[in-house]
Amino acid sequence: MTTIPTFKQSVELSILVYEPLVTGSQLVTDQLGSQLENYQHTIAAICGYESANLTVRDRQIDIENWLSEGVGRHIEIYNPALVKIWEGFVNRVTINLGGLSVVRGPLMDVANNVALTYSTVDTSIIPPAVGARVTSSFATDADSQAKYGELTTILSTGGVSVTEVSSIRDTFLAENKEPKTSQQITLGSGGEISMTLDCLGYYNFLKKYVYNQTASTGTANLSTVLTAIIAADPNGIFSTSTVNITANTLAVKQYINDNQSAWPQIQGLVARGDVSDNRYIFQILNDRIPTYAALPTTVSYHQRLSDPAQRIETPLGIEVRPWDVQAAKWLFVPDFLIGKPQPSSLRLDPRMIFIESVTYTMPWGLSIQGGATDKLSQKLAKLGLAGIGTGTS
Amino acid sequence: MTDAILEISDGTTTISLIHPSTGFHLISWTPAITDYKDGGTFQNPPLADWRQMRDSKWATAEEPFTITLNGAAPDSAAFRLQELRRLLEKANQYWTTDWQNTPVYIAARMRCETNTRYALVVKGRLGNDRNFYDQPVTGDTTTLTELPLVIERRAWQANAPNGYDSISIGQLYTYDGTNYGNVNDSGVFTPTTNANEVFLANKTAMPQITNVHYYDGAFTANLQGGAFPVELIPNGAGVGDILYFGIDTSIADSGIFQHIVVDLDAGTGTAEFIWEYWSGAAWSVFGADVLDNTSSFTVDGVNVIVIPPAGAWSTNTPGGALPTGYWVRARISAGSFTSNVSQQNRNIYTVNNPYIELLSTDVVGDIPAFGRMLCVPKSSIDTLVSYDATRILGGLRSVDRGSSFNAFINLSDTQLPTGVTVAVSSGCTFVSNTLLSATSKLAEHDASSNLTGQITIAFTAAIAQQYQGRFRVFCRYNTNDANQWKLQLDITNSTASFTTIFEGTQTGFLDAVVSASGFGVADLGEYITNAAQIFDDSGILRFGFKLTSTSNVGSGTLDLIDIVFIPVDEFSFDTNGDGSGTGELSTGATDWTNYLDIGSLLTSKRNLSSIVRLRSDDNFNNTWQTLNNGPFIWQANKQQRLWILSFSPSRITSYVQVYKNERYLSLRGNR
Repeated sequence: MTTIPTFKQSVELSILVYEPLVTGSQLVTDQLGSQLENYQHTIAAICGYESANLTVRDRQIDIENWLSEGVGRHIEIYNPALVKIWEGFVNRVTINLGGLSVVRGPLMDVANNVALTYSTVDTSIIPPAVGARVTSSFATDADSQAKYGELTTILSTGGVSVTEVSSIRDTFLAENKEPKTSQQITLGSGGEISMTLDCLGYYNFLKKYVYNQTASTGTANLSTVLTAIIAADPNGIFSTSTVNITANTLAVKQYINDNQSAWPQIQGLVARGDVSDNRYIFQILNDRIPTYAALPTTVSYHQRLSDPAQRIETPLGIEVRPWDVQAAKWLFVPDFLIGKPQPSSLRLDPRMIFIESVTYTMPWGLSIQGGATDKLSQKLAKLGLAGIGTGTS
Repeated sequence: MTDAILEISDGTTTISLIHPSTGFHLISWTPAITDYKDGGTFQNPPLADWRQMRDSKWATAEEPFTITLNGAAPDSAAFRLQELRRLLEKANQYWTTDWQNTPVYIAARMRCETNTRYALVVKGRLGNDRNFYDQPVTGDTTTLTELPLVIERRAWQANAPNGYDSISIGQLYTYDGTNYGNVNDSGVFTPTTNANEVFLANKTAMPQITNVHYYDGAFTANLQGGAFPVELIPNGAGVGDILYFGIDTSIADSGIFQHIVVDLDAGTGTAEFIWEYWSGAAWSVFGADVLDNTSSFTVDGVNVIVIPPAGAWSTNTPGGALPTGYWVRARISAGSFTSNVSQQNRNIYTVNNPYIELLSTDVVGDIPAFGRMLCVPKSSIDTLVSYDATRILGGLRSVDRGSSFNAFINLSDTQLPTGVTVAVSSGCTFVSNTLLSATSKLAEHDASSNLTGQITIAFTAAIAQQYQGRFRVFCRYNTNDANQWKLQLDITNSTASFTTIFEGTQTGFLDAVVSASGFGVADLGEYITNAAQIFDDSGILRFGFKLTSTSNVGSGTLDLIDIVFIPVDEFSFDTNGDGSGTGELSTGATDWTNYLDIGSLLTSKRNLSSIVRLRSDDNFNNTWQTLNNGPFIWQANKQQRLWILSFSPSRITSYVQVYKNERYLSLRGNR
């Protein structure tokens, strides 16, 4: 007797695929879960749903459809309890049809709202002088925006003429308004028919719009400014709910006019922590609801090295399946450094792991990355410093 | 005595591999037993003894046959080879194309075995031919010996692919010592496969209709509990004559009712009815239409009359010897009957169960059977809320895990499952609500008195054990305020203090946000418990929940109707329409035009399909998107309940039918 594995898939994950959110999010399929060959997702404390990769074997006709229509599609992953455990969008589609491999994307390289920051050149004097930095008007592509949403790129160059500015900007727009496609043919090997969907979490859309605020001066609560930056999303992707945004009264300046995208601004705000220099986390999770909160002060998970099933459990002893494990939680290893006294602070206990990022790999794989939880980083961020030396060599 | 069967078929073309005369003959075959994919998924950590299986999914099995084709003339032999290879190609095309939708299967039965088993062919291949120019191939008769035939198949089934058997189901309610529901005229539980006879509630309630009386100037004796058939309405009944349905409130767990299920030998005539309830001082017409599926008692058979919520339904004593209770009456306002109306058998009853129950003998086999359910909503215009059923969840749970487990717990001071108590504190109080009764009350959070309201749900030690498992938790509510309410569910192991048992200051492990007025269902996420870990400080097994609602403004009220624990650890589904209205189960009329057909029996290409069909002709209308943790299954050889939650008002009802295709690893015998 021979037993033939058909799919390697063994955990019953459900997947809903929709057209891109900006196009109305009509359901494409609810059957992808049963076709999964490989699946992996990563959730991080600093951004929430970070990335996911799906490999599926399918028919040529279906794979070709994914190549032409798949970039930007909205993906939701559900656990066996039918609870959403990850969501994001298809950033890149890679298909393999025998010896032909075709890649389309990434979506995050698409630009359909383009401006150019440049230096003016005064050619009336000898020698010509490079003048002030200015930003051109935006050139847009309505068709691309209708399909993928407004995706902003501000190019930067040195001294150029006004005529060259529009030429550079418009050429860039024309060449980047659609996801790029590359192909490779490898002959002499059998190959297979499959596709891989490289997905990203929606926080990446925070990188694709610029946030300026020139109407108000003075300072405001950090959490208020954070909310305003998210609310400026031109694509309506992020929830306006503030239910998961913890009030943070740390005063920060309101006036912003640096043509900087939202994401580095949010990173900068999050890095400042609160008035007591406590670390905060920022995540975009289910339904694109922003979460901004201080680090938890209690343990969420236990993992015993001696457990033959390698379970993650709650302190109560209830199993947390690997696909359900979240980032920005504390994990305790009870059978490590047994008998050592427990420090007053969680972060001082080597048995405590603050989950900076967690990667689940189907069916039962889990990788947890621990991270720093000090206060110095927040102090330095408030000063605009990235780090500090020890003064010794 | 039955003959042996071993054949490959698509239902039209059938090729026997043990042909009694000229044709294919089986030379050798070692029947395969399917195994888990990769032998199962194991965890094998270096710091632990042994390894542990963590997961298992069935792989397909490969059946290697060696067959001989003999006794046929050369052209006939060529024809038979072609037919077999074409059938096998058809089997392969079933999976690889959209246009070949006829499954090919193996059918097998041992000689003298009672039942045939079937297995869907995943891949088939007839290997190399013999040398056509060698003996014994050549000659007047052609014999091709030792042809290798390899069939990759799924598990054996009781029916050919896409086939199924009906399962007899029914509802049995015992109230005040009397059996109600799908019972015979002696009150004995009598499951049925008949359409439209098994009803499902979208709530849990306790009371049954204890009294039915006819009035034409004087009241009859109680028509319930007697010999059947019993006359409900006499020939000649006319204007002013009345039929009363009531629940005697001297009985424990009494309350109002929202459905009246009858089994009529219907009457003829022109009688028209006005439906009324007692509103405290007078008989009042319901604010919305009663959905009378009996068309004024003129439709034969089992049917349901659905009563809309009453504004202030009060108890009364209608007269005669009728007891004090909650009464509904159907008064003839015009016309008359030209023949009598009888209740054919069983007591008239109301629908209280939100689950379908299968007995351990209903589904047999070696592994879980594939299943299918038809769910036909039967409700009416509802003044409380929109009544569109746009989302339905189901969860299967074996009864041996706890026969007292009830997925629906009313957040009330009455009609609670055995061993469960509900209490309110902070901004929550019990207030009158017509969903249960005038005297019992549902929890209501009045944000003007306190921004936070709390409800505690306690389980006795014995009952706590029956709530082990994985659940999706929902809370149904009705609010008059569109401001944001946050619902948070905490687990506790103390009936005294309801201190959360999570370490430190962590609060809340499940929460949801309500931000629109009206009826709604708050999704509280996934809840997991292993009761073995839930002990109080005295070591007594005990646990409960604390439901906290928090308003972000100090206004409005939030009525908390019930909390629903849909089991998700055996099989569950979550299916919904696209919200556009097209293909939903209702159309906004007084009846429902569509029904839901969900299951894993109609096509093997999908592991589960969720189809909305037209009630008028059963034709396809739309497909609902579905989340499911595997194919639609019934557990084999187990008493089990499929709990159903519809995202609609709590009183809605449906009738259901269910089907199965049992699965086996090897022989069926007479099972």
